[in-house]
Amino acid sequence: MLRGICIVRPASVAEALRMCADLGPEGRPIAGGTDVLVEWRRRPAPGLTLVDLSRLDDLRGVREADGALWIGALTPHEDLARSPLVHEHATALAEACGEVGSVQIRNRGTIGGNVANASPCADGLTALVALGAEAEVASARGTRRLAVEDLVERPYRTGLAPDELILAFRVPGQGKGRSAFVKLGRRGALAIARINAGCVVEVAGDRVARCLLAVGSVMPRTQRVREAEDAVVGAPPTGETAARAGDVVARRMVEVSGVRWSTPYKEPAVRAVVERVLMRAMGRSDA
Amino acid sequence: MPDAEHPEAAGPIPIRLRVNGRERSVEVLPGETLLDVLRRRLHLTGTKRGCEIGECGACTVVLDGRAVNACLVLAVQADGANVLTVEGLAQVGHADGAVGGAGGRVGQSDQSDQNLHPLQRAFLDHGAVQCGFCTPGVLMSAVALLARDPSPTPEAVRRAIAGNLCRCTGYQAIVDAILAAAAARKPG
Amino acid sequence: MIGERDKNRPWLLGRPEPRVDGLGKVTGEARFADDLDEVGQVWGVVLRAAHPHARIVSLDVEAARVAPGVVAVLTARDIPGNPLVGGVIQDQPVLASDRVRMLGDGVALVAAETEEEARDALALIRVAYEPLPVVTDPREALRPDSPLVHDRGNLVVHHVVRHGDPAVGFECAHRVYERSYATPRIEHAYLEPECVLARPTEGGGVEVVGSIQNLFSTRRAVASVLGVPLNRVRIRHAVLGGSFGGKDDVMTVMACRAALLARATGRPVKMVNTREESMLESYKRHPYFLDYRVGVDRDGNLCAMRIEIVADAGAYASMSPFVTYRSVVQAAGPYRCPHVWTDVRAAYTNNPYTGAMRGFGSPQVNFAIECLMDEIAEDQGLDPLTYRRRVVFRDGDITPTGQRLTGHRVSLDEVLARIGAASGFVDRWWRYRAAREAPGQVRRGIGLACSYRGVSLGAEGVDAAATFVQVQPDGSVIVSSGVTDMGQGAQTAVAQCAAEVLGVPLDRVVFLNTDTSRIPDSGPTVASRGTIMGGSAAAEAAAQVRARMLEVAADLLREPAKNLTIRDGVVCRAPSENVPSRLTFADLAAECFRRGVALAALGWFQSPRTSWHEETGQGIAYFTYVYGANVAEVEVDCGTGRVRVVEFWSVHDCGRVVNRQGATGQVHGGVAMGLGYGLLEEFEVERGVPKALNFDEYLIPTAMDMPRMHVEFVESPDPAGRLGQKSLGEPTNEIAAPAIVNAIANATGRRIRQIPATLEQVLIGRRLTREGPRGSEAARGAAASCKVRTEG
Repeated sequence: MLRGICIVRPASVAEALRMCADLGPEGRPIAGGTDVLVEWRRRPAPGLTLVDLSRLDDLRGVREADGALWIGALTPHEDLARSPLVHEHATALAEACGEVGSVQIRNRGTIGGNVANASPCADGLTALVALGAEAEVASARGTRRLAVEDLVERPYRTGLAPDELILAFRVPGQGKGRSAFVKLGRRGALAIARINAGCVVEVAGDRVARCLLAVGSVMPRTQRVREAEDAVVGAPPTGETAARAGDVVARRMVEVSGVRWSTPYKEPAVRAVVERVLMRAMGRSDA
Repeated sequence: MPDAEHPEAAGPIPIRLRVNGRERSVEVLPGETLLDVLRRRLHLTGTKRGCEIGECGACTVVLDGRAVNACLVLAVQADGANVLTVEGLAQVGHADGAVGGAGGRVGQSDQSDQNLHPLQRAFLDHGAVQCGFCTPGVLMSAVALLARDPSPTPEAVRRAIAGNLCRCTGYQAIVDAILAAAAARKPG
Repeated sequence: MIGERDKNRPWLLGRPEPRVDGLGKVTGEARFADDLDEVGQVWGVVLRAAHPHARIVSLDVEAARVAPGVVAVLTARDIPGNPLVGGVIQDQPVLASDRVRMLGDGVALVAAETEEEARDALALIRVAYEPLPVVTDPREALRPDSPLVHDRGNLVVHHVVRHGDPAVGFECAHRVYERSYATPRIEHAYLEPECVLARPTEGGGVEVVGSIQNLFSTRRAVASVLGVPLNRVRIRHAVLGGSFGGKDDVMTVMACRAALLARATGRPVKMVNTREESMLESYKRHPYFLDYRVGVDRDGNLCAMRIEIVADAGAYASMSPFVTYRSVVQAAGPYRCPHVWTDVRAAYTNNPYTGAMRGFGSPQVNFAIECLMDEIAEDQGLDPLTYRRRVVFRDGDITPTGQRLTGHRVSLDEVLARIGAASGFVDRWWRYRAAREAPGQVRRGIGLACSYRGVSLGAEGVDAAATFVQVQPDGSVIVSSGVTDMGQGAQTAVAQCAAEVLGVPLDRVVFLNTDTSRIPDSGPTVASRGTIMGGSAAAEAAAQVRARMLEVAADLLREPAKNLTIRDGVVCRAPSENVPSRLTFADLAAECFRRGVALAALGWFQSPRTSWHEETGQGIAYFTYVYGANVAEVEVDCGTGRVRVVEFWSVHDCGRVVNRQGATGQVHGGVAMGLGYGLLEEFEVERGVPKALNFDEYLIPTAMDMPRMHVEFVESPDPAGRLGQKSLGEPTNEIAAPAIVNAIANATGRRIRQIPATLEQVLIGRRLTREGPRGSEAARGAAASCKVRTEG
């Protein structure tokens, strides 16, 4: 029994937006509850009213639209991990969602919740950022789109207004690009990412034509590392290129995060993880 | 605070659940979890409370065909849902595996080992049970797995039960039991 | 008396019979303590300390007393009897009166109509503390200037072994190794949190049912705290959801508290810990700091060992004196060495207290000695298996406590030969060693560890147990015993011993949960003694009943009783051939009942004698020993430090195997726990404050972390057990970690001397410690307070 919970249960998106507008900062959306309820148990917030989104079936599912992938924010991780569409067009996201928690968590926890919770080690978030995904955000005042990367401001804080909800994500088509995701955890399942990384690599001829690379758990917020992307684009799709990108990410990590208790470990480890994710997207994971 | 617009927010909320094939109506508080309702209101104590943060899987039940941690589902979120717990498993075994959709009696205490679900039988035969505290949750994860994937690989079985911590068995006998139950249900 | 004939030819023993208590556990009908409720019960909750070490200046419970739903509030002043408990040293208050020594200490109790009301009332209790200096490193605690945790000093116990003279031994040394090792504090992590239900009974007594491992020690404490005789206190256990040594002292304290509330309120009282309360309050496995100095001569023989160990006892003694006893006996490993001096000290600190946990002082010393032996082997130019086989104990060898290993088969060399063959150890070890420098980041390694282990309590104390066997007029059987089933399968093993001797199939036997008022005090179910002690007592009881039944059978079949036996529910003629007669066990039981024959008997088994000289650490430390070996194969990711155990072998000589399914399950579970110890687990405490209190941060292995395990048994029936059986539960758990760490060394060439071998240990060769809360927690806290500021 969780103490002090108040909850409202909208039956439609419009009603949900209206309730969020009414509640303002006293409202807190809840989808699968795998983050919100754990956090509530640890730190109850009796001033808040939960807005239960679980009945908004319109926000669940995956479909192709205009050469992009539309992903409802309430789609559970497990569905994304199993979706052939996601596997084909957004491999990194399918792989990331398959690495979240356990089956039980993946069945409840949603991709929208993963992003909105804004944990620095969120797996789905890293994949979406790497894929250059956009979020469709709505409030009673209207709808806007923004890059997922720009949604998170700092750990556990997004730039969403209190009355705004994430309705869906739009993952652009990757053309000939291939994406991949790698997670490093302390154990084989139910692990928080010590480091995660996602990327898209498009090879043209014997050179990398396009590269997006995002890392999580490494800097205060999940973000692309453009210096590393630049080091890859134009270079041959080889182990040396991937290793160089790893070096760049490690250096950026120390520049951005400073030297922390975990730095002596994370510096070499993030190199290896970045190298590996790039190699996988280059189709050279056997190396 | 319950705000003026939504006065029902903090008070008891009536919900309907179909639990082990039987319709149940209960009034719950907003903070009650599905686990609270099963254990305290419906006295279905087979579902265990282990960590209350979704890490141990002892409270795993099948909710609309999916394995979930009952401690992380608010009861009001399960309104209208179909719930299968370990107590309903023996009947499902008879009703040919319709997960969460089985009819029949609930909470009966005359379960002789003749009418066990094939998974329950396999758990006994393979020594998959030691202290038994994780067992109901593991069984429910396995039920959901086999409903989706009737012939899982050993790797798929391990993935499916990775959210169920067990401190006694090292998981090997559990994996063997689930694979054996799957093999036994294959036609021919 | 069981004849040699029967001992050698068991008909039921060894079979993989299903558990006698399995059915309820797969149907959900098994009632664990938290599944029980009583009409009229109130909920009991505990106010715990706010500081790891502080004087209680004042304690005001008045506001809580009048809070809604509250029925009683109790403090230390309300304890009628002895306020202190403790299995060896009575140093732990049921409720702190003037001082708290660890964060898990209880300060006050509240009973209320609902759990929510009880918890709300806790917030109304006002405690003023005067913080005292905190000591958290046991080595610092032993310095003269250390803050004192208890007034009598911080030294809990100091055990020695003085065997030969290392000064002489080291003179023969060609090479001397000086190595330091450290092992972590770990959590039992039983899946079921602690729970009791106490009910007041007439004459000032109580009845307590709960998740209690050692019913008789709990009974002693409850009677002493209430100030009533033992027969007024009745303790039963519900189905236990795991214990591993862990539901002993913590349950004793909980039972005492519930009993106090039950007496104070006159109503049944239920107490259940949340996982966080469980991890905060329960005792742990001792962290050890181990310094080994070992001399090896030119031929690779061990010529001297000097071992010094400090154990962190935490705030209370609990089982520390006995845990460290096992350590001092077994610290030098199963190896011939003429000169061994060992010192083991345990010190009080303000950390969570430490006590019994599966292994009981052996996992720590085995980690150290097995890592060291691996290193010596490699320096000798030998693989670790071949080297160990040269120096391990054999029949008649002398242990460091001066005990000659006789009366049983010292089978360690055979155990090693078996595991070597099963795992292809030698070949793989050389192959992986050669491949260390190959390209690629993922390397393989294989590692070995072995041990000997004293069976049961040894010279720790009285060692006897009772089992009661009753044959019913229809031939069904009821067995009850003083040993407890916490999930390990004691009920099945003990029942199977009774069924073996009676000659009935196991499904004819029902086992009753232990009840202190219905069976004699059988000591604690610890030290892997359930099967040998409870099982031997069962065999003894069953033999008495069988002898009486066979007299009647002799009369019915007109055949001398000595020519009859019972197998699988049928009386047989000519015991060597087992020719079935027409007389079934059920018919015989009915006839015995008609003739007024006593079909019930109490079996009492007392262990063979042990001895111990405290000043020299010499004596018969244990009446017999078991032997085991583990091999782990690992994959090490040299880019990230991630280690995956890919395959595992265990070979054990546990005497006669009673139930193959149960025995195999014990090995699997022991290995899993050992894998966690080696790679994942550490209950981190900073300045007396635990860093994690739930399974999100205290990581135990999942199904995705466990390798395929191969289990074999070398069965050397031991005359010490009535049916040739010995011990298994703990040996399975004590050598997995060193096998894994040795495998990592085989893969990488680098030796890890501090477990767990985390990502950081493996990749950069040291542990990294986060100061303060997890980054995410700090960030969330900041986010939360930020929210308050912006919105408030």
